[in-house]
Amino acid sequence: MLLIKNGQLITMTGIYEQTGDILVENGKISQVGKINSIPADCEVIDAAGRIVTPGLVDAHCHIGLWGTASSAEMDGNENTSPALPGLRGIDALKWNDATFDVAVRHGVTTVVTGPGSSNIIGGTFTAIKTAGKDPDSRVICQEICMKMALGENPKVNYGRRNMAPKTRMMSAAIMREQLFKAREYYEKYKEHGEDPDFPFDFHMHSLMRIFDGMRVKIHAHQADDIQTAIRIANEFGLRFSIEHCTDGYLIVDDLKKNHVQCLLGPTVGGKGKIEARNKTFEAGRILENAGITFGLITDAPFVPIEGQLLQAALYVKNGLSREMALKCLTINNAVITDIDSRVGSLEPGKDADIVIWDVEPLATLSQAGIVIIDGQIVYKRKAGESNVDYQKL
Amino acid sequence: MLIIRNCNLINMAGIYEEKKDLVVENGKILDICDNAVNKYNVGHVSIDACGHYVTPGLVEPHCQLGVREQVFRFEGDDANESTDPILPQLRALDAINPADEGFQMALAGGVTTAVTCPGDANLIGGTCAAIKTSGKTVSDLTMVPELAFHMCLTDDVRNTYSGKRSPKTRLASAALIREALMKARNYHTLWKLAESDPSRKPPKFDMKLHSLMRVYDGMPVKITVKRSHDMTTAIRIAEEFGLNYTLEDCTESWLIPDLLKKHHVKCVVGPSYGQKSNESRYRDPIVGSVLEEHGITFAASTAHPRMNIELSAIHLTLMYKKGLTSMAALESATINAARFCGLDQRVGSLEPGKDADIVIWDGYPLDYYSSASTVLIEGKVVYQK
Repeated sequence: MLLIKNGQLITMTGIYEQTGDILVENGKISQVGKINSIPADCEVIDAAGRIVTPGLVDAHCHIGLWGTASSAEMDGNENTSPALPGLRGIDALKWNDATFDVAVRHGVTTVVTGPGSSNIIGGTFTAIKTAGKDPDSRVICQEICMKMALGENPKVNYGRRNMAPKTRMMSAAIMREQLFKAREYYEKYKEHGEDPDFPFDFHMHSLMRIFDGMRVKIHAHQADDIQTAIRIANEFGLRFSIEHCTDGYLIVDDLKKNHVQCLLGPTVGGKGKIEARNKTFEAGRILENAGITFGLITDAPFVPIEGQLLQAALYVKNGLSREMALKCLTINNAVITDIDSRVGSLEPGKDADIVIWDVEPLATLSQAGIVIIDGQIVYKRKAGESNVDYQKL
Repeated sequence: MLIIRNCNLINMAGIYEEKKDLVVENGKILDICDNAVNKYNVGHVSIDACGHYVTPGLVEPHCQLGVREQVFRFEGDDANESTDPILPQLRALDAINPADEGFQMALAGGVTTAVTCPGDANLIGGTCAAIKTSGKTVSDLTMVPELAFHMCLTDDVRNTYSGKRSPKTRLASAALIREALMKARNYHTLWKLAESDPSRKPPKFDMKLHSLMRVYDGMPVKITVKRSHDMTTAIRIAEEFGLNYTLEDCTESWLIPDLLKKHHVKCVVGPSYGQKSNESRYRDPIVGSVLEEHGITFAASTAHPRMNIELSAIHLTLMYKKGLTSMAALESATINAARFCGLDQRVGSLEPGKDADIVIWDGYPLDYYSSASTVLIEGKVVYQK
């Protein structure tokens, strides 16, 4: 058992900077509030004066797949065919990549990581903790979302090799064709799946799960691509989120009308590509004011995982409220990736993923002090340490 | 005459957080004093800095501003002429687009001087230009058309040519640079002999060598290196040929500070933040404090667009967060950068006689939540938030 005493709690579910205690039992949060009697055999952490938040969640990144040590470890994009729904991010995941340590040190306790956006359908994302006693116990869900992509990445990737898609028309057509086939397969499977003669299709078998509610993450920066994503998703009744959503702030009415959930980012850094040319830190404030449900993502390695708080701070600098920024890094990211029953807030019954901040998270000098995952202390800050674990690389 | 009143001045030349007035005339700093309005009793324009922090404009010692544009891929990317690894005859100046959005980003970040360079695809990429960050035409911008050569010993070169032509390995990278430097030395000798002795014929004109031979007249060489063993190669070659050099990027400099100190290496460090690759796996803003602890003076660079130039002060802040002192952080992007680029007669600090490149900040410069609110270049307001 672990008791965190007298923290300034930000639970993401109504308590905002109020003094309180958190009791952790068997890796879960068992009580939040004022806890008067200290149970026997209970480790106590005095968090007086320090902000305590849920562990941060990154709802869209590629850590563990996009190796840093060598090109032999680059497993982000299987760009050999534009529709490969049978691929699974978890099969390429390098559990002990140093990036996970960096994530932990910066208060990130859960990441949703998976394939890149070279393919129209790239495969599944996995939701995992950034530390834990073994790879299995770190997994929240092996396959949590299906990744799709519109816009320039697939067409640049294939088009320049004189393969389809070369245009946005073809990108949409490939996505639709796959969805038609998957729906047909799904319906047949429901009826005849038990039949020993049923013609098994590996990729369709994976993709059909979106008709049982598996969420689709659709990469779309430009307003027209976002609208195409909404159009296709609505056509097929998909549960979806718009990833990156760079132009989202220009079409908030559309987003609102369609109840679109957005994952915004990466925003730190140059524009780099045409579809991201309208990138701005103003977007957070505009989406917040419009009442859109959104989260903030690093897309690591594109914004390194340690940049998550810097990025959020720059959104706050441009008008996003501090409270919403913190929600965007925790509960909203968890909701938009369907892992909010486990993580994203400090509530009884949820995983005990907790950060005690030495310096509050959105300050310039922000600093995680103690990071707890599943009730275990996985990081205690030492002065002057570097971002990278030199010994491990 | 322009007076900027009521500055909380950090001039990078002895004045740190003091209430001062700046007096500007003909684009230069004329005076730094108290109560300038009384002292200069003439009809003047004045700006009230309202007690905000005022610093010299930041100096970006290594970037591709205007050469590799924001947004555009092929159309606006002129950084890498990846058709030949040895191209000393190219000039970044010929590729600068002053209409690139990067210039607005530079001003928003408080950067008033930039050294813009060819990219990292070639061993010898051409010459870098020193420019100001505001102007309608390239000639408006230009401070020094050809300030230094850019050389590169990173994976980028080997990745660019691998499989097609040399260099495929570090062996060839070093050999090709050496070969070019040897030929240029020979060419330089013959050229100088012909100059002093009219009876001698100059060597047959060779555009590459004609450009590169200037390194033997002291023209600086910027060598981009990331890994520590490549840094030692760069030092070895530079010392062999007596080059006036700086090392750029220097991702792993924090792993070999003693060696850098022994060889008196001038490091232009950065970006210390951003996407990591195989070569830049040790990229870490702790580099600032490690070098400072070892008594190594360095300059900081964003290498825009690798790290957005708008984030120059944030780059310093990240190093400050990791233990670099605030003074050393500010020096690294102002006076140190200017000195390493040989521009410190004009920029890098606010002193009488120097260019009136001035930034008024709306908070402490080393703070995520601060911004440049007013930027002046040569006494003219070129940006207001």
